Amino acid sequence: MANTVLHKAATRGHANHGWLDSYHSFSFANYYNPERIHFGALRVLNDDTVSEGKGFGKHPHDNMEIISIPLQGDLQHEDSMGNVAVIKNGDIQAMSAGTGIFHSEFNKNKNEPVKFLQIWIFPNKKNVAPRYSQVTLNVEDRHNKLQQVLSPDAGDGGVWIHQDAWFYLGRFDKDFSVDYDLNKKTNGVYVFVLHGDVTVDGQSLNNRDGFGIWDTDKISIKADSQDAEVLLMEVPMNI
Amino acid sequence: MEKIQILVLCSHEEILQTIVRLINNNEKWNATGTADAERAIGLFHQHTFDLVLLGSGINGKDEKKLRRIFTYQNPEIRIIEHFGGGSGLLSNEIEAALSDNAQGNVNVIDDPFKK
Repeated sequence: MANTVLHKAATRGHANHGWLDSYHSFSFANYYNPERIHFGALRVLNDDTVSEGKGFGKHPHDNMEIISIPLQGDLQHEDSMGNVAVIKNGDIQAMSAGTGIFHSEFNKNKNEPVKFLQIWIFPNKKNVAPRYSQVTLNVEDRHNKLQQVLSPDAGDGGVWIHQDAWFYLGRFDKDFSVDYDLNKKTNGVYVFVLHGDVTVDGQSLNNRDGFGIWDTDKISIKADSQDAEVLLMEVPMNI
Repeated sequence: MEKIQILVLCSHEEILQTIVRLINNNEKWNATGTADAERAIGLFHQHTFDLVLLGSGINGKDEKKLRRIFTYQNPEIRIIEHFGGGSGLLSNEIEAALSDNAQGNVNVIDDPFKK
């Protein structure tokens, strides 16, 4: 029998700092909910909007896999490894903080906010060499299918991280349905709705809702609205 | 009011300095930092700490040893991971650990890497 947890969008933590408007699916910064510390290896899921020209100044991380998925606008990345890059909708960025990195993320645009998801995953190895990667994906490849955007395998689709985790993006026509078979039975799946309405294993979900499922080897997703979009994150539950 | 005493261990000097500075921005907290495991043990013997933060660069053998020594000396001590003091988690994890200490709960993730 599968276990589930539902995080309705309106119940997320929220912080508006003026330059940054952020919704936290899990405890973060001044938002602390002991019932929402993490979903398995998924520790942070922030839904961020950053004002024009503003951003996160140089700050450090270690021993964390950090994934950014831009939804709108251009996000400029700089880090202590010398990487300078811009990511935009259709790209995905992954960093292994490992033994330690400093980085900054800024809205490159002067005339529109940048919206992006910031996701932190506990790694399966400590003290790895820091690394940065980004890939550009064809957004048409997620129309009525689940497009893999992250995996543990450097030779597989999307970016890779130091964890047995797989991420997928999908954009569906109304009434389209798809089954997802987990890569590992000990993993769980956290579905985050990026747009529209979907039903996951009988649970109705709306824009920005999150739904976690574990102790199962398959889930079903059905679109209840046109152009419904989801981010599916399969992560280890035993950490 | 006595400050909460926090021992920070991290082999990355620049991150260590950042974490100590961020912690000391909170007037209720006082951080003592070191990049050396043996020095951390010495500090733990000499001073009373409420919380230990472990960061990057500590090998598994040293970490086990530290956890064993700290817990032997103070069974109530909370030892948690920090993740570099990047925006968001540092204060949250400290507050959670201190809150749980007070309540006798275990709601923070002491060691997400343990098997």
